[in-house]
Amino acid sequence: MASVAALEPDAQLMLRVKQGDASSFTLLLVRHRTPLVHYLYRLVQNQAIAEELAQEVFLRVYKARANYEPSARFTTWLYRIATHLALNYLRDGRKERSGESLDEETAGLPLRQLPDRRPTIEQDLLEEARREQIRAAVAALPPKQRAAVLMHKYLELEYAQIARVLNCSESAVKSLLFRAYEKLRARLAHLV
Amino acid sequence: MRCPIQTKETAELLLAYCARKLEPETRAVLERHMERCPECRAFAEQQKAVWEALDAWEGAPVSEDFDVRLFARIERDRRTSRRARLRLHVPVAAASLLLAAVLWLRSPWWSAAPESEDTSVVEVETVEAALEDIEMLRALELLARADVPGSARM
Repeated sequence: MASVAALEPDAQLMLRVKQGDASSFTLLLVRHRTPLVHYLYRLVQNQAIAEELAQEVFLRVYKARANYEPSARFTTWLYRIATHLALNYLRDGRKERSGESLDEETAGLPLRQLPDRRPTIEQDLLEEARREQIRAAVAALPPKQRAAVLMHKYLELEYAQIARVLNCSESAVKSLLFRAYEKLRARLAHLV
Repeated sequence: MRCPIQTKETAELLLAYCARKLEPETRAVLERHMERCPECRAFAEQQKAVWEALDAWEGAPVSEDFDVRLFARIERDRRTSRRARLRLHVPVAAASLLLAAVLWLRSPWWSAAPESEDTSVVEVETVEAALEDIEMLRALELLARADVPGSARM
C-alpha cells in the first residue's frame, strides 16, 4: 500500500475515519454530498429517492471504514456503491410499485433549478420545456448507459474509472457512451 | 488523418473534442480534418449541442437537514447493530454457562460430595443384590433338605 502522504486527499481522510476521526468523515461528506445527490437525482430522477440513496451510500462508507484499503480512488469506490444502489432501485421497479411516474415527479419539483436571470414568463416556459426534453431523453436511456453518460458528463470521470464503477472493461464503457450519445444526439441536437 | 467517425474506437476522439478534453495538438489536427469532412463536422455540431443541452440540466440543492438525518441514521444503525450483537451473544453466553455447570457437576470434586445422587444409586443396587443373595440361599437350603435321605422322616 502506498504511504499515506502519497495518497489522494480523500483516501487520506478515509484512513483517518478508519482510525476513528469522525471530523474527517464530515469533511468527506461536505466534499461529496452535493455531486453525489445530483448524480443520483439525474439517474433516478426523483429528488427524495436520490437523497435517500445518498444517505445509504454514506452510511455504507461509514460502516465499511474498519476494512477500508485505498486500493482505488475514493470517488471510484463512492460512485460504485451509489451506482450499484441506484441501478438496483431502477431494476427493482420501485417506481412502478409506488404508482409514481417520472412526469409526476418532475412536475412536483420546485422551480429552484431555474436560473434567477429569466426575464420573461415566455422564456421561463421555453426553458422549462427544454429542460423537460433533456430529462426525458436521459430517462429514455438504459440505466447503465445513463450512468455512464452522467459520470462522463457531470463528474468528468475517466473511462478507466467509469469502467471500475460499472464493473466492465474500458472498451465496453466507450461503447456504452457511443451508443448513449448517439441516442441523445437524435433527441436533443435540435435544442441548440 | 483517418476519419474518426468510421469506427466507434476513434469516435471517442470526437466525443473528447466536444467535451473539450483533447490536447491542443490533437484538437488542431481534428479541426483541420473536419474542415473537409462534412460527416465529422455534423457529428461534432450535434454532439456539442447535446453537451450544451446537458449543461442546462442543473441539480436541485440538497436538503438542509441532509447531514442531521445522516448522522441520526448512523446512530440508529449503531444501536441496531449493538442490539443484534447482544441478541447473538446472550444465547451463546447462556449456553456456555449451562455447559460449564454440567461439566462442573460431572467433575471428580463434585462426585466426592457426600450427598450425591450417584451414592443413592449405588445403595439401591447393593440392597437389590443382597436381596437376591438371600433368595438364592433360601433356594439352596430347600434343595439341600430335599437331597438328604430320611430327612423328610425326621
